[in-house]
Amino acid sequence: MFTVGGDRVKERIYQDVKAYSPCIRLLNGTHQIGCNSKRGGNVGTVHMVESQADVDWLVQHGPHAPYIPLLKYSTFTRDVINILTRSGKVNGILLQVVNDTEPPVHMSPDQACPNVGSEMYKNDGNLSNCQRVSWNKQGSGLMFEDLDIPVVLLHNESDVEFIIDQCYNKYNKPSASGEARSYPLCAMQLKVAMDAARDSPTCIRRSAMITNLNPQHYCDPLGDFNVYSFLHLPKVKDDLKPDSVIVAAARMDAFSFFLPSMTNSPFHNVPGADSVVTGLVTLLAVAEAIGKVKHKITKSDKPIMFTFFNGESFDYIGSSRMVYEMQRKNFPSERDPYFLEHPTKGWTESKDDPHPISLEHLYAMVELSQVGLNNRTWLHSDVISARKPAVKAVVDDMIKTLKKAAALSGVEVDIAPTGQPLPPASQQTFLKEKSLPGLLLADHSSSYTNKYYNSHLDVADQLGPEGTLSPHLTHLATVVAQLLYKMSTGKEDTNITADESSVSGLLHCFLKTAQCDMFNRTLNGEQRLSTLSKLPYSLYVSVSYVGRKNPLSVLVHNLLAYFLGDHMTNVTSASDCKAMNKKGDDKQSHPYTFKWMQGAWNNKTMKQESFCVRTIANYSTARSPAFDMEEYSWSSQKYSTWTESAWAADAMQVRIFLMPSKEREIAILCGGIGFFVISTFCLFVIRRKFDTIFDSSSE
Amino acid sequence: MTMMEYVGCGFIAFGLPAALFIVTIARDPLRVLVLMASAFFWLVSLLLSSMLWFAVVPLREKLVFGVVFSVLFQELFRFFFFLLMKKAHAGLNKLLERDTSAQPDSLTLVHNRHLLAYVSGLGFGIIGGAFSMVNVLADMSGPGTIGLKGDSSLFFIVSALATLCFVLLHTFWGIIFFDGMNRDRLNQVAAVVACHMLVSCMSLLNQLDPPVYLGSMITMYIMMIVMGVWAFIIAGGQLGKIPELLPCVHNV
Repeated sequence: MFTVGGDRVKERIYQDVKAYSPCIRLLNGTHQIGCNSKRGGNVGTVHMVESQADVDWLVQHGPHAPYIPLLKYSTFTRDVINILTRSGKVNGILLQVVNDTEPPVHMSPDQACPNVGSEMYKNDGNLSNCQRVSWNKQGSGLMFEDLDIPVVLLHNESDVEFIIDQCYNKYNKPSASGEARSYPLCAMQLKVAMDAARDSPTCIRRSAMITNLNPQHYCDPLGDFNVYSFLHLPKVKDDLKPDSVIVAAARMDAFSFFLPSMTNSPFHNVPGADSVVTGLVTLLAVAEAIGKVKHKITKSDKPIMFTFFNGESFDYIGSSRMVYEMQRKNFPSERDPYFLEHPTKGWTESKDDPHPISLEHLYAMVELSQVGLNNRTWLHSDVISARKPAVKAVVDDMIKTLKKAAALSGVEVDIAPTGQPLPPASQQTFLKEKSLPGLLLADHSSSYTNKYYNSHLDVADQLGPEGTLSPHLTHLATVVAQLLYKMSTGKEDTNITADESSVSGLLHCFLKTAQCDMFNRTLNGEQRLSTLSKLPYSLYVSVSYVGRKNPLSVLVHNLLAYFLGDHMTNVTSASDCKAMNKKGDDKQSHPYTFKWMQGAWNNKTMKQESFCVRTIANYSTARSPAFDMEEYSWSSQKYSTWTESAWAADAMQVRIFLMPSKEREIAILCGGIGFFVISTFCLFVIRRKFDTIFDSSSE
Repeated sequence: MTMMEYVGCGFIAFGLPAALFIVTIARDPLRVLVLMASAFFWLVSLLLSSMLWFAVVPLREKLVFGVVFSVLFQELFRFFFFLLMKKAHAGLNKLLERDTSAQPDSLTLVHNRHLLAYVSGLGFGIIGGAFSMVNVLADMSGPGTIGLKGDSSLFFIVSALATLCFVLLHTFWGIIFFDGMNRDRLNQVAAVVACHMLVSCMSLLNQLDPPVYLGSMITMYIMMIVMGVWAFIIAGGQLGKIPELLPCVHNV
């Protein structure tokens, strides 16, 4: 007592929910999808919905509309959400994932036919729209629905406990007989106010309009950077033959229904463990294995290009941009950030410049998709290009080599059912433009094994114990590395093996924490490991604007340089290594980059084995050409048109409070006004009789 | 929306003061000026008490310390304002005597010194009430009402009623205090300070867990009525004539 409370009344009325992940609004060339609230937030009575009975009660009885139902995994289905939103009694939806002992059997917000809008079979009557195989059979497509109400995921235990115990059970829970409680009721306000509306062209046009001195922008294109590296960079002076470049690819991005990673919310919302990480890690392990034998691969062999595409979950942003640039003979591009950061690395118009690569130079593609959920791996390839005998021959040859290597490494591989089209993959973007022999390695023969494709539940836990996952991915990487070696040199080398400790180290980095050894090795010493995220990085591609790179793209770039670059043993200090970048035109350094890396920890010397690496690993823009073309027909579906709505700094808030009854509010209002009117009247009367009552003689 | 609660409580707290202002003050610019001047003096006292509160770090957490010194500063500035009005009174008097066009209301202000005391007291009350209520009001306009964290649902109404009580108390104290100074009845001055101190400390009871709203409110309103009657009598009011206010009695 007698101590200052110091708290504002606001804090006694409202309880803020601190940790939450909202669903946000995205837009494409023709539609808006996702969630939005009114400017001031949507308010509704909290109601727990744990069963169909609760849904019925809310829709049929529920007298205190609008409601904000609190769902669990078991009720967070598209059916229930549709019933609730169509009832018109729901103003927002909460999903709590705490103390839920039964994770759902399946949950994928992606479509049953992912990336259907940009598939290669669009014009094929028999294959389009996943007629043959519904790849993501369990996909609810919720992600692509325009819900137009806020939907928020709660993952903090104390927040959820407060809502259930202090709010719902105490004030709102209907009686055993289904009787609704009376006021005051516990309510919540969900605020996820999005700036953009309608579609991408609209919001881009509105952003470009200058209406005052403080231009506002409403949405940003999704995008980031692809990361790629050659083993040996083909230069202009080298004679790069058509049909020679082998592309080894994987994708770097996924999504989930709940996209933004709020800094104050320790929740890994876009984990993409099987969707992305398994393929990504395996390809990195392949790069490491190939890097160890790169002296055996000469310039006369077919060049291998390791490519990590970004933004692929949103209609193949990264691969379509790369194909676009290849078609324009602008790949690698002088404008890519790598060259912008190192101006001396730009084009010198000399024969040492990187050789432009166009589609005709591509020979074949090997792509790693989801590979972690099955000990067996299926080889998928495109049916249309296989109609060309030349393509079919190469594919058959690749399969033969791969099967042979697999048999030696004890990896079970199978060929996907014949006549089945290629699953959604970056290859499709290339195949749309060129008949290319290609293989896709995946852990499913038809429909996905992954029950949580592109959802926040695609976490490390579903991949099973690491003790079986790492060996599996290592063997797979060995097989792929041997395949690439054979394709490049024409010779077999069964001694090429991937390193299991690297694989498990990388899995740890991408699935458990970014503050890990493998990432640490590639930092330059100036950047501390502690500046990386404690959680693994979100795999959401996020928005593209000048000067921004996803930390994950940077780390993958570093790893590629680490695995494939040349160690400069004669350079022994970080500053010397940095200085190498300034020497522009000599043959040794153009157009390479020199990076200082801390290297691995050596237990004997008790030091990190730092070194200087010369690399040609590079970024290429992964931003849809649609946003950089002068005239693009937004409804043509040729390129990805996804944008993310912008939002203001105060656009997101989730809070709990009590709502008084209408009667009480009216009583207070009328009481107040009545009191004012009566007192005014009385005072007029008193003033008229002033002299009667007050004896002025007392003056 | 509890916009309704917001407006309702606003009227409860400031309805009567507003009516007083409209009926007794607004028509005369001189009275408005005096009201503003006294409100300004209250503000200066608030400034000083907050400076003291800010400066004395170890006692910052003790609300009771702040309350006591705030009351002392308020009464000190009531005294300063009285001195100012006394000085101004003579001048005003001359001014108004010469100016034949002066409004009759302005004349009464100068001639009836209780009126001057009343106006300055109301000025103190309105500004003090505004400062105590405005924070609560600002937070009331959102969608929620109080109670989620175990606070009584009466909090808003109690705050409004307490504010009203303080506005009226200040008005009455103004009359009693000025009269005491004018007629050298220091017991009246002492009573005002003591009563102010007592009622302010009573309001600390609302900080208890659970708050004793009923007890503190009843005491405050009893005090207010006592002070009201006293001020009424001091100002020359005749209790016996009150029934004449009622229309039926008057008609008889």
